[in-house]
Amino acid sequence: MTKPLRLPLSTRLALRDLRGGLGSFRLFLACLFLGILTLAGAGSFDRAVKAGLADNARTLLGGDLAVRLLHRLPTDAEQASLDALGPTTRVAELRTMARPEADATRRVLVQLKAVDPAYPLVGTLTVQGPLTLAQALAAVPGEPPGAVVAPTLAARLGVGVGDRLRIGDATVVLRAFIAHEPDALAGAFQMGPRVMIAADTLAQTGLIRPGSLVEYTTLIRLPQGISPATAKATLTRAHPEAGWRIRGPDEASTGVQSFLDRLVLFLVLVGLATLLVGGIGVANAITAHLEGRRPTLAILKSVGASSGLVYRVVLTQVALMTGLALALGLGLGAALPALAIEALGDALPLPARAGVYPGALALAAGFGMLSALLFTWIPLARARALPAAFLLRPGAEALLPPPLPWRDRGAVALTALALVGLAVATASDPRLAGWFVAGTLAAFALFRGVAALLMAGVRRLPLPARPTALRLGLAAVARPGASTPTVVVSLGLGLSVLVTIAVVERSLNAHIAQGLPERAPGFFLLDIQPDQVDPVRAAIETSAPTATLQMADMVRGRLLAVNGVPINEETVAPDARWAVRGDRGFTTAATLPTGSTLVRGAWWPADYQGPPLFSVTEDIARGMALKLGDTITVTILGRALTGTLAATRRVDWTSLGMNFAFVVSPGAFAGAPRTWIATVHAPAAELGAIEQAVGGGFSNVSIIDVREVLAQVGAILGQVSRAVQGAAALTLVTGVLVLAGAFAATQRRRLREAVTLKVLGATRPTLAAAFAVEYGLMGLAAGLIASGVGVGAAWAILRFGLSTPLVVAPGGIAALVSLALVLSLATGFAGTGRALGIRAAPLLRDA
Amino acid sequence: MEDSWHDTAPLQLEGVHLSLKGPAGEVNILKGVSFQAAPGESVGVVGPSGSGKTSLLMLCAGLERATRGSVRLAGHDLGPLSEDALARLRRDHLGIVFQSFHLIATMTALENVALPLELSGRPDAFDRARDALAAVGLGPRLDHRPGQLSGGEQQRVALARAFVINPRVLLADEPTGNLDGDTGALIMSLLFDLHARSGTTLVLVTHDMALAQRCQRVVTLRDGQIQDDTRALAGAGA
Repeated sequence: MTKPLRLPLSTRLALRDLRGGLGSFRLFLACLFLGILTLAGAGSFDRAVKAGLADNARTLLGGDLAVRLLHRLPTDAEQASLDALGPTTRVAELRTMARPEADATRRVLVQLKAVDPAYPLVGTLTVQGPLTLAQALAAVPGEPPGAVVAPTLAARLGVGVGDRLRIGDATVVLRAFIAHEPDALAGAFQMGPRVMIAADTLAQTGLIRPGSLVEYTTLIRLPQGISPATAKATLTRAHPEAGWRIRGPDEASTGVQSFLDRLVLFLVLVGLATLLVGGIGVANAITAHLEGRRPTLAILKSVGASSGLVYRVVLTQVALMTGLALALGLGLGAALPALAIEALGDALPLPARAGVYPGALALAAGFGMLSALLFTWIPLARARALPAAFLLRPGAEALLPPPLPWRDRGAVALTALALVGLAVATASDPRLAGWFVAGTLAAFALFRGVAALLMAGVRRLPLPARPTALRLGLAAVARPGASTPTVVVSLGLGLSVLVTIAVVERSLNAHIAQGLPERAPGFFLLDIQPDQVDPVRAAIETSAPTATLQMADMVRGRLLAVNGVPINEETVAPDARWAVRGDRGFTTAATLPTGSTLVRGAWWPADYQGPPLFSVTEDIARGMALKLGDTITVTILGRALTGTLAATRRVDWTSLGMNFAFVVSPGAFAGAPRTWIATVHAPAAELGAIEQAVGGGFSNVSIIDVREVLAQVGAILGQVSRAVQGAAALTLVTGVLVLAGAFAATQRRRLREAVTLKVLGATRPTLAAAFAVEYGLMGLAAGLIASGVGVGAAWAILRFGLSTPLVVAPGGIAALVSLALVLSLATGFAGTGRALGIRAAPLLRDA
Repeated sequence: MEDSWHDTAPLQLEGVHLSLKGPAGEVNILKGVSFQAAPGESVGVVGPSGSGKTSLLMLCAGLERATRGSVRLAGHDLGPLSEDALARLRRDHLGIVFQSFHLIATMTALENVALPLELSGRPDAFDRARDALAAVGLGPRLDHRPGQLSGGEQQRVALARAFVINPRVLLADEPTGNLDGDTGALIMSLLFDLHARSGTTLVLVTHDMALAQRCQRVVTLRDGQIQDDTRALAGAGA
């Protein structure tokens, strides 16, 4: 019978106390669990996809090294250097139009890829049906060359295997549909379905002309012992002026990874908001727990337990519960990637490796433990500082508790700082995370302030004598110990996150779906050859007389050096790095382009014919610390061109007009193979005729339907928004849990009051109406302020992060305020509704 | 009173005042109470509601601190002691029995009784607790929790817990207040019996004069002051 005395006494006492059930710890567990689950899930998903991308990096790249050149093939010397490194294959990619041979009216922008027989060097391209890629692309006597295409093209063009397609000047036979393309993610952003042909066939299309936007990528399989970095260094050293972009497997999917980073950052921030909202629940739960355990703590102290021991007992319980929440949250969070992989299978758009990712889990655990510590410290410290008499004396609540010791205040401040520091330091965008944390804390303070104002305002209000329910309800909002602060803060913060996401999504969608097309062109036309400029203009004018055509010449090139010093991406501000990463479009202009505003310097004379002058956008100039008069060197088709920075501009990108970050003085590209691009504004009714006129007459010109692109962007946005909203819903669920806990904590008092009121003659409808006034007012306050906070946060994100105007739907806001009202009423009645039905006699007898 | 007796008294109060601050201001509860209890003596404290009986008990137990005056328990002046030093003093020298038992609901009878010994780090805590429960007639109810015991049984567990450390002073606050007459009488018999056997000093707070008069002395409190301090006619436990 004697219990072995192995565990420390505080642990034994803590465990004995927990035998009575988890009680208030249920709310503690739920709040902490949901926050940790969001963080662990998002982190694990992030690592799983990154691990998947890393596992498949060679396959995604298509080799050990990818060397990309724009417009041109490698020179013989360059090719020799490439071949010297190992087996190679060459891929040419460009955008163009495809149509069924039998139907000249249906055209689709496609992503054309021409491959040689060695493709792919790594991984396997599979096609549906019995053929291999080589068989599908092989020439068959008496037939046009073969092509394999993405299944989506078939639906859009109404074609099937065996049908013939026109691509440029060539006719190809659709031999099979692509089942899996290993290096699909490595290429440019795909604006159309894939069409793959043999390299020999590309020559027949007539699409390769001077200045065509074609990318030639040489993929290399390196022999054992030669690292991609070494090979890259060798090539750069041998051909410093080549202007090629060399990527190793670690850069196979940088675009996808930065997108993923941003998505995960939002999920993590929402997870932190959940932890913050849950933190209120955690603090409430601990306070309620300590209140419920008052007799136990008093008995322990009266039989000789020290304050330290009593503190350690509760601390042990908190640690155990935190451990349990961590185990549950981390366990389920860790399993999420595996569950997603299992559930989605091939539908998962990115490769992911199922597994347990300790780094992600440790980070989520760190957040969970710090927030548990932060929100339990004050209630625990208060309990420790409370003299035994406060615990034993009935009605001691009315006595003034001793003030919280300064060391505890310091510890709380340090814990809060650690939590903020961890959030900011581990975020992929620390600045955004910093703003988020600051905004959330400000919102937290605002909601507390509003709750205090509401209570103070109601107290000052001359309460109406009748109806009784209104007076009782209003008085309940303002009484000492009312749930008002908890309800307003927990419901308000949860709703704010939801409102923010909803308003941002709605604004972006409105901008894309309604705002943009009004100003945006109907079509972008690419790859117009110099000799096609006038005929294209004429064709458009004939087919759509009211159309407005804007044209600009363009060459693609890369920034090489500033003032003779090669550009190092690391020294460029993060928001300007895109300008130095990869190829950019350069145009020439005699006058300041429409949509641009001069910021610094002076525009060159319209008839300027001197040495090249540059104008760049102000944000790039700032990001690269460029001053007027600095020399800028760019490489175009392997040739370096140096000019002077003469002016900086601000550009309204949202106009979707003909805007370039880099503009050069006229004549700078004389002799370089240029193509023209054009925007066409026309009434919707005339767009079809324009497409036919350009598509039919100029098979090499790519026609980008802006509406289609916007629809694609909208679809991607929708997917991202759903993921973030899913996480935000957890914040709201946590808020509702906290709310429920706050109401439940007052149930005992409400039962007593309800009984007293019933004895005095109050009917159930009167009590119900009083509760409705109380809960409704709290919900309304939370909903209204949450709308304001959410719209404000959305405005900041849209204004400073996305340069998009705010669109607020009054109906949506009204719906969210109603939701707050309903949640407050439903949770309130669920938590305290028992008070309505309680019979007075048993309670009076007990008392 | 003789000095030698005064020096060895396990419980001494000298000019004790107690004031508590609340939102409505300061309330003076005890006003200059002086009182000693000799080793093995039993003292009944009576008085009307609000006279300060329970506060006096709290002061004796070191659960409340005197605003003025001194309280000595087992030779220690409670004034300068820290909360933890007071807790250790209670653990080693003091037993308390409350009106509402104050057992820990999640612990068995055995665990409740063993608690003060566990706090002392006694390895034989459970063996001694078992003996103490047997002494109050609860040998077969060791593993029952308070909720599974009657009120009288719960108070017997509380008595066992108070006596298990062989305290120098035992404080009892209305120990029969929550019990019916017969059970209350049984508990009081047990209390006086244990007191007689252990030789501890007993301070019994009660509103029941008949019960108080079973003690060797009866102290009457009124309005925070000792109004009367007399030797009872009957002997302890009589």
